[in-house]
Amino acid sequence: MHIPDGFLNWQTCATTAAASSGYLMTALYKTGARLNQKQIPLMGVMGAFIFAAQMVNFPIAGGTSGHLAGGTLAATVFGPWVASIIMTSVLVIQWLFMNDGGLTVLGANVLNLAVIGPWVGYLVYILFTRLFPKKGYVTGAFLGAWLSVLAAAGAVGIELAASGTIELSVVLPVILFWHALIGIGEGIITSAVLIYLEKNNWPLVKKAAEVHVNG
Amino acid sequence: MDRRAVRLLLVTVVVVLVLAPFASSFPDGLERVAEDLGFLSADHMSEINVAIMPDYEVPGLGGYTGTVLTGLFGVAVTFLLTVGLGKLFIQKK
Repeated sequence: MHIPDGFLNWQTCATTAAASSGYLMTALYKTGARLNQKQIPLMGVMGAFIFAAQMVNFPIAGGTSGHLAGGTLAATVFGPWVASIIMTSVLVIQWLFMNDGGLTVLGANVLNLAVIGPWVGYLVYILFTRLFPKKGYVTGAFLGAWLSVLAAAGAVGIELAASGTIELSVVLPVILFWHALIGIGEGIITSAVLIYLEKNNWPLVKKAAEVHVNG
Repeated sequence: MDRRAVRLLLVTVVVVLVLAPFASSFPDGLERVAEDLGFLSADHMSEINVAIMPDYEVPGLGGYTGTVLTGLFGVAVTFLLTVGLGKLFIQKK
């Protein structure tokens, strides 16, 4: 759901850019406070993986495709603040070298995919791991990923409406419909990768506010 | 480098070599919505395009090669940027 230049008016671009910039400053600080040097390669590879996975569009119904966003995946390993940094790296590279997502709308894309996505996914995930400590993380990841896609899509709809591009009552049901389907793919991929990561001794966030990523 | 990181990096390379070139070319969700609702050509602001691999293709290079090159390049620079940010903000303890 990378928004291209032109879809949003300058006011929406400026507002979302300001919000994202402010948030990212906090996220960078939190990243510095929470991770240690040994975890840097893990962070880097997660970003690399998400970039690659975002290239793999899968068909959903009706001649439309989706692809993994990855925010929930990153958040279940590193927590939401670090996930935001990882996702922003991916988005910057995607605009800069591939023109995937525009520059004027980068603030909006960051807000949707690097802020809202990871936080919604993370909070749902944490809720499930608290309610069902043993195996809740898989269902939590699936549901968190699905809801994170819907939340981000809803935000896109609001941004489009705020820009006067399309009426909210028209765009919201449509964009949520398609992303309800795409979100299933996000859920499947996120939980599958998470199972793989756990088998490979990547510690996952299983308690709120504690990142157990050991070196 | 941490073995877990190396393993996921290998998986990532496999994704680029084996999955990315066969990705669906259907429009993604947002593009589909824009087509159906008629705002695909919205131009509130100008496009700022400096991409050397626009749309994940290398100009002049065929489908598979171009996609794989784009993927490997993107994987590498994303890794470098993310690691760079990590090194900038994570103190040595």
